[in-house]
Amino acid sequence: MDVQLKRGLLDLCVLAAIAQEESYGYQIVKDMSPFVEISESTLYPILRRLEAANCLCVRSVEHAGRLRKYYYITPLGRARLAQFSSDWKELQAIHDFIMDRGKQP
Amino acid sequence: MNQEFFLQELRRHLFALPEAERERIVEDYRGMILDRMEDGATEEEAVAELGTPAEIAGQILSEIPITTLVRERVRPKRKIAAWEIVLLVLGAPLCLPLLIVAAAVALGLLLTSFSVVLAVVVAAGAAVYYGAPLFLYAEGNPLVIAGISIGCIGLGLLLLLAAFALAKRLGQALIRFVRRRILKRDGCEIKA
Repeated sequence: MDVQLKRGLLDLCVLAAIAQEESYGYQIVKDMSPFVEISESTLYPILRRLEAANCLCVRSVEHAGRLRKYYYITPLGRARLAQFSSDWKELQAIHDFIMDRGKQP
Repeated sequence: MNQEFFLQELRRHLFALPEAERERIVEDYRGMILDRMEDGATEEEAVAELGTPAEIAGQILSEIPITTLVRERVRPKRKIAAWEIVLLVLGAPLCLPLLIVAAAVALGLLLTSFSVVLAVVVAAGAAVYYGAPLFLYAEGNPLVIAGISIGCIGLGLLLLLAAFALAKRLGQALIRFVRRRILKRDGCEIKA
């Protein structure tokens, strides 16, 4: 898939992965893996980017004698997910146009 | 690759980041390794699944605007206030000679130190040169004379060893001093 396109979609996938309940890095990778191939080294910068954009927040939870970082979605993150729904309709219209007019004459 | 080596390498590749940020990332990656090990992976497997430190650092750094990186590195430790500039300019006629004096003193100390080493070497040579042939011409108990000769050779060797040790110490101290005072000033941290 096109890198730019995938980049935007991955952000949304990550937000979707934590939309139901908070989660941590490895769990997010495992949850996404049946649908999207993602490594933790790809995920990590995305989490940082989303955090900087206030789409998610981090909290540390004690686990097995150490702190594990859990990521949870913010209202802004939810808004981004909702936005995708309307974006998708637009995208579908663009797709139809490309397929229809992009054909060989 | 084991965990500590992996994290150390990651730290090295992230040197361009401010320390707090760098340590945060390293700790996050430590957590990822531990999460995988809890899931049943061995330490080696857990580390291997994350990719190489160079790749990881590359991805993280590519997300950070270059201006942020440059600012972090170039930003001076503190600003120079106006009154400090005035003081510097006004003080120049006084400061400059003082600086020259300080440099001269430092140079003098350096020369003195190495003169001491040289003196010890000369003393060692003299002890051997004059002491060893004593038994050829000195009169008296041959056993005592021979003892003095051997003692002189031993003394000479000891002094030579002392001179070497002293020279080595001085050299190391000088290198340390130069590193700390001069190299650190451009903002790079020198790790010995």
